[in-house]
Amino acid sequence: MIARFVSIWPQTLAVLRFYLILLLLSPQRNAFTQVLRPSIMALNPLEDVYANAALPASVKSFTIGLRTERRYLLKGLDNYSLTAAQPLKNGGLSLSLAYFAAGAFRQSETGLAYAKKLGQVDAGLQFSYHRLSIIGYGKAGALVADAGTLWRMTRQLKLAAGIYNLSGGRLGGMREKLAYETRCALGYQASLHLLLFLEIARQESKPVAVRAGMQYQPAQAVVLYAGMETATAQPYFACSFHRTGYSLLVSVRLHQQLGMTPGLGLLYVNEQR
Amino acid sequence: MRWCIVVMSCMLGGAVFAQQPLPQEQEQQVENLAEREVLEVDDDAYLQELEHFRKRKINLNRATTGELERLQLLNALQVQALLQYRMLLGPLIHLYELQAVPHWDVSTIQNVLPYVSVEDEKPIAQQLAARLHGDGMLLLRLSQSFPRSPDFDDTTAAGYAGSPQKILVRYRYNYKNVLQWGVLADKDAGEPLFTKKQPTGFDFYSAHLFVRNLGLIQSLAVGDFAVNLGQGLVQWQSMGFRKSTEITAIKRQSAVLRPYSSAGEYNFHRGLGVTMGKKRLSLTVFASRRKLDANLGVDAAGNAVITSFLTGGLHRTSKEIEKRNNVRQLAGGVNLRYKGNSWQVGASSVAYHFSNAVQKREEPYNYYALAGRRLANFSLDYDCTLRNLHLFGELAAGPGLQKGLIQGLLVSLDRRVDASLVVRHLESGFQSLYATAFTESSAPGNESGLFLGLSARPVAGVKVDLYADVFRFPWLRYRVDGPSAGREFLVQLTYRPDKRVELVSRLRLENKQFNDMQEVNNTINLNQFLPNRLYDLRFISKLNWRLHTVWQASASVRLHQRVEMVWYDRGGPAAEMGYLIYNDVTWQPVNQAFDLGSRVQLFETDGFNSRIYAFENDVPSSYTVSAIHQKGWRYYVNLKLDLLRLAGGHFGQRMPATQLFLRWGQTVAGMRQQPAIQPFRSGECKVQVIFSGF
Repeated sequence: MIARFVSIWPQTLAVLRFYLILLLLSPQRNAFTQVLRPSIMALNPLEDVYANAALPASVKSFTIGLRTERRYLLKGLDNYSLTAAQPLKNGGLSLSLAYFAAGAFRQSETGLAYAKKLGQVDAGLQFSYHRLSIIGYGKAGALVADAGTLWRMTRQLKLAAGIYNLSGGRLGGMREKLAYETRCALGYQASLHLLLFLEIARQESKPVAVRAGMQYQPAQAVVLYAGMETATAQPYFACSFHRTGYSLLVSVRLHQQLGMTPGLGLLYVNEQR
Repeated sequence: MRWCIVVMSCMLGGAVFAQQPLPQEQEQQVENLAEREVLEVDDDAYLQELEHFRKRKINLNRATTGELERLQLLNALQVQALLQYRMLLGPLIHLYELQAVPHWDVSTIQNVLPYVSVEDEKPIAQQLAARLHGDGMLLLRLSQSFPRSPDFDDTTAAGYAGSPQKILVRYRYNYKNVLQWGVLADKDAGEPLFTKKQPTGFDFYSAHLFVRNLGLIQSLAVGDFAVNLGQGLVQWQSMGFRKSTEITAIKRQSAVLRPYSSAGEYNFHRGLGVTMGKKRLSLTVFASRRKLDANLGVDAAGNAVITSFLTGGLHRTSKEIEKRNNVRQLAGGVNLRYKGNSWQVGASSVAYHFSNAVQKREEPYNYYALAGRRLANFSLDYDCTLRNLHLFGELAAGPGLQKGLIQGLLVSLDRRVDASLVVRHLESGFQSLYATAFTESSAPGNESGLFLGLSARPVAGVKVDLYADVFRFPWLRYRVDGPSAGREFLVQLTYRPDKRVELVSRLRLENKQFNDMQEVNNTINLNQFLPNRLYDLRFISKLNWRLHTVWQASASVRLHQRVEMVWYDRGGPAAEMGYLIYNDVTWQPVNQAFDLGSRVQLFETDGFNSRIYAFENDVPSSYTVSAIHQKGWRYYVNLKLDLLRLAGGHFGQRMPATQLFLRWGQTVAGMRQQPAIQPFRSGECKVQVIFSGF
């Protein structure tokens, strides 16, 4: 095992250098507006297309998915996202739309990502238009750029890393700016049916958050998800049912004081190539 | 084929580590109990049980579920896996075959090796002959702390009436685990012995008679005994571990009735208990009548009421002696159980009656506290195993039909990955006595929570354990003036490059809400202690990091090192930090008449909040878990002498096996904030003699 890690150390250094350069190039800032994405928490940060700009390269056929969540069962705190991905010759393309509403406050994001396979590593870039509107107050938008990589270190180990809002977008050119975020997820494929992952995220002006989770397939048509994130101390559970290209996803997140956030998702994968 | 497995998988070899009182994982669990202030140091029933199994190993080819559960080293999936393996493939040929049993990893096998054996079924004549040879054991222990406290002055009203020695005398006889009886006498430091204030001699006496497998009677307890029901929501008097790095040790497992032979003076019943059973059905009934120590107050009508129960068992001063056995408790209960092949269900009921009504102090957090002369609890519990899944749970009700629920799940996701989940929901008014469940609070009640655990062995020699626990308390608690919440996260990495070396690194973060006391420079603003004032709450964090190494340097020498750091309320107004470093050396020369163990420890903490708990090896049947704080150092030396061996066989078979244990420990600590004050020296000395095999 140690020998294997020694052999991939040069690649590790290359990936770390890439992210260090990106971070250094990013202007220093303080932000308080949370980026919408990935606000709908990806159940699997190494496979869910909208979780990382590099993941469209892993898509094998046309995929489209719709997800919604109602936060804390409160009408008016609904999340929606629509993501579509299409594989290309040596990569993939994805289009994502996200929308969040809380009374008079509305946030939306429209993004286009392109990812390319580079041997063991996939890299991708996403450009999104982030829009914020407050009824009776005003509207503003910002262009946001994200970068992501997915590195298949060994047959069992994968590493996904991403930087969100690399460009330091500011809403409507004003002082108010969007937070940047860095995420790194390590996945361990224990078996064909079980994936474990550990994700570390750092959003600007917030403490480091850790998420640990698993994806388990007890039967051909069923996948179970479970995990916990430390930032909000919210455990989550989800279950998806597959049948002939369609998947139905039911999820729930639990907050200690605010209660549960149920979610529903529908996914279609074109299994005929 | 099975012989091939045995021959090819000879990886275990002999016992890798010289025998230690407890496996590493259980040392951590004991430390956790001490940290939560729920460890009863006098309750050594579990250690006695392990010692018994060390001498009379469990035959894995005949062991029942109950016997395997008594070890508390195996989770429910492992127990079921062994029984199914035996059922499908017949008796085990050799201990090496344990590696072929599903869910049994090398670490588990190494932990249970000292207590199990694989034997063929003996002829009936041999079995009967074996039953004629029981095990008697007489234990005498004397301990004392130094220097002598000024409280040991019985000329004053507040002075201790007795000598500073703590004395324990215990005799126990075990007859092939079907008959056990024993007597115990105990005196704590400061308690009188054979004086006018204590004419009966010792402060505490205990006796028990316990019979197993007597036809229809599965177990019969006369005298002192412990009762364990379900998952501990209504009754659990044995040791109950809570969250720890053993994420699969989340389920309470025990026989309903167990003999009680510990020196603890509170957590047991005294009377009669019997479990009768035929085929799959069993019924347990027990009744108990005993006296307890309690603080008494007076209610509005002028009647004496119990304001709190005293569980420490200390009767040193005149006031403590006055409160000795001043209230009476009658208790009774019933448990009906039906066992299937891989499942069981049970129904239980427990009731209490006190000579005086219970009436706690009128504080907001006592709004739902136990009140009145009677208390009754009912519960339903179950467990079942489905392939790689084990489900268990208990639903209980208490006074006012306030409910409590625990639901757990153990699943083996892969041969290298196990996961666990426990959901608990206990209403604010749920009350029970002698209960220990898988909760954050010391007693079940006023809590909702979710525990998730994961254990993975990705490659040989590497193990990762993590858990997350989020919980909330809907009502007030002591020192918490509002509904509150908390969370706890832990990750532990264990690396065993070979059989001789083990490295463990553990990081734990705990965040709980407490009253915001506004401490400034450790000086408390007394104006804030106004009556009836409710404080605001704030989250206080505690981050704990530990690095522990074990090295079996040779066949007889083992070394432990630990470095531990703690950060309390990091970045907050009451921030404290502390560290602990210790080195343990254990020398157990082979075929010699002595064993020697010692530790040297350095520590420094900013205050009591940043204290660190460290398990210490002690004389057999005794726990020591020190709460380390202030600045200083500590050492102890344990010496064990096998006196018969030392005598060189001069006494032949005439003398029983005799072991002498000596322990000396000393702490030199000073106040970190006030270096001008001379460091304080304190020490303790223990002498213990065990006569056994007669």
